[in-house]
Amino acid sequence: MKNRLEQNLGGNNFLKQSLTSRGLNSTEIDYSEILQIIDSLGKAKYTFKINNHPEDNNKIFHNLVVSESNDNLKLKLVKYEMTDEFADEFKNGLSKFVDFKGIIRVIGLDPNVDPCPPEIITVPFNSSGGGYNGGGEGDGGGSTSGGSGSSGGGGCVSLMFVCLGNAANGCNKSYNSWESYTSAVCGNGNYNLEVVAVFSCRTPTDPCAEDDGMLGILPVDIGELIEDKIDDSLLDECTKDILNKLKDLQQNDIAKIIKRFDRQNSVFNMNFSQVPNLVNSQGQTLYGQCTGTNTSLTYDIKLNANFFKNDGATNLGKATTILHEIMHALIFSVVDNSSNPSPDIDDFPAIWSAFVVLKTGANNDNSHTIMGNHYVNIMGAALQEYDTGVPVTTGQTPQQLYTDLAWSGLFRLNMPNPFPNLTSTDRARILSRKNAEMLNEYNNGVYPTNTPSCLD
Amino acid sequence: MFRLSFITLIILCLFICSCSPQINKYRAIESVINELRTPFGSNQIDTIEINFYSYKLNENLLNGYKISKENELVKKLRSSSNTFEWVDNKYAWSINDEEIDFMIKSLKDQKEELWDLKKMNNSRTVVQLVDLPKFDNKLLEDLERQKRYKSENFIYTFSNPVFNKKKDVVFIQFTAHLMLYSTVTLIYKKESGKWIKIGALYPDW
Repeated sequence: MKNRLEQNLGGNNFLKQSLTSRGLNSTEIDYSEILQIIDSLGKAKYTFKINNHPEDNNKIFHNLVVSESNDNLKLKLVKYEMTDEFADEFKNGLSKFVDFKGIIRVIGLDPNVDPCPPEIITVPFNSSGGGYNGGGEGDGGGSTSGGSGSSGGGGCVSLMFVCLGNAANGCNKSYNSWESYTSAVCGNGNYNLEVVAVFSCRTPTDPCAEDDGMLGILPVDIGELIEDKIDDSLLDECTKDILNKLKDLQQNDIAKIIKRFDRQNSVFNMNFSQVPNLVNSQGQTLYGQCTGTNTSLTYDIKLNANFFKNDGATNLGKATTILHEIMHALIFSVVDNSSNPSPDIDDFPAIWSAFVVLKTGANNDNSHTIMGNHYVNIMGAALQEYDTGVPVTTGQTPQQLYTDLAWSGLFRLNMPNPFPNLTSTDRARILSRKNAEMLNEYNNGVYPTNTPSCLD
Repeated sequence: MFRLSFITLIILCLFICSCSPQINKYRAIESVINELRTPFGSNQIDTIEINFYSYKLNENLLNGYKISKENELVKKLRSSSNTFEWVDNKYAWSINDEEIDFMIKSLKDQKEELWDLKKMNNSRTVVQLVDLPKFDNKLLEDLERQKRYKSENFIYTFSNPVFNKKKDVVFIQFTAHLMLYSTVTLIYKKESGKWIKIGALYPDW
């Protein structure tokens, strides 16, 4: 789609020109994620995320929606402005985006090509309150075209979840609430779930009126919200620096890890702290621990201060433990948000198995290996970029040092090996690597990486 | 004559009663040893080296059981690392607080003990008792560690088994020497005269 977009628009220059004409000089189209939504008439719309729009803040974000019209591409800039109340609820994980409350504003990207005034819709649609009024608003970002006037009244819009299964499995369905999705057969988490705006009663009276149908929404990045909400106030400066470095990685920061590992529909919260002599409730030493709290989708992550100190573990070891606990919280949140958030699923192997079943539909060697490799490639790439400063090239496997550290979080001693691709020699080396980094000393044939305990 | 027989019977009963904990202890430990697998490859162990001494189980473990049970069943909190894994959900948290309290009390009577090979007469796995202090030599330990690590040939130290009042549930813990954070706690239950594993707490890090 990126290529076609470039071809049809005469390359990036045209797109840049269109953005510039709206005063969006530093705004960029994010091609890394393209959401394709095909409506019941077979019409496809493609949604791209817009980065660095000058109006964006904690309530506002923008998408670019591309559709075909008479063999041409039609480009619409869609602005989503949440109400204060909804923005708070969404960021605190109390509401899903499908419950959006606010204003949706649709306008042609380039006023020279599409001079129509903006279509402005209040959601939830209120037929008596002029939910589709379009009047009076400038079109933001220094538009050169007029910003007032209605695009023709009437029309209503609702937001829904669309399950991207297929007709064969009967899971290409839409749901108007999280509850209706999770209680449905297809709501087991096996299929990607997207949010769409459904326009169902537009009454065109002029050439500017849009057709009814669906457009996909790529909301403000949940991963970014999750990352922003990490509470690190109880961490020492050394550990905070390591966490911040993980947040700032170019290719694999925490937000992108979360997005790559499992596209989230909910924000979850993580509260970090350092606890000396951290043990589990049976008194066994732990490097880190992630536990649920009485608040839904909020997890406490404790790091053992015996290792998380200025002359403790290597900073690579600390980064590994921090990422591992974040992945625990992520997997907990996925299971807690599923249609079967059984409290019986508690310990990590059981949670991992539940997660594998949710994502692959099976609980066998193959599905464990697929998800294990998925986890390790993401974690390993993040650790390699963290340690070397160089992102892993797309399609390349991270170096063994980093994949070993990633694997260390996925198995435990004396338990049957759920990953047939790992031999006992691999498992012994992996465990030694983790211990060498955390103890910052030689361990069973493995020397630590000699990275200092704290960043400079 | 009757008096002599009666006294003999009493002595016999006392003898049997005093032996019973020992019999239970050895039958339980045999079950654990026979089922033990190598920690990395999960391979069967044919010959196992065990520290001469058993140790007293830490009270924290049993208190921890109660804490974990409450966290899961009452508070419904997930945790990455503080709970038992059950062989079958029907056994999950089936040991009640009274039984745990009884076990905690019984710890007071426990002490470090020596294993007696002669009493391990039912073991499929060949058991050898070893003197652990000889591995305290740093150089020897390092060479030994390398060799043993590669072959997954570890020396194990077992706790004294701790039984409930009915003597049909037992907690046993073991740790693999030369390997960090390798302590595993097992819960066995006696069913139809056999000890079967119902749950375990594995190390996490």
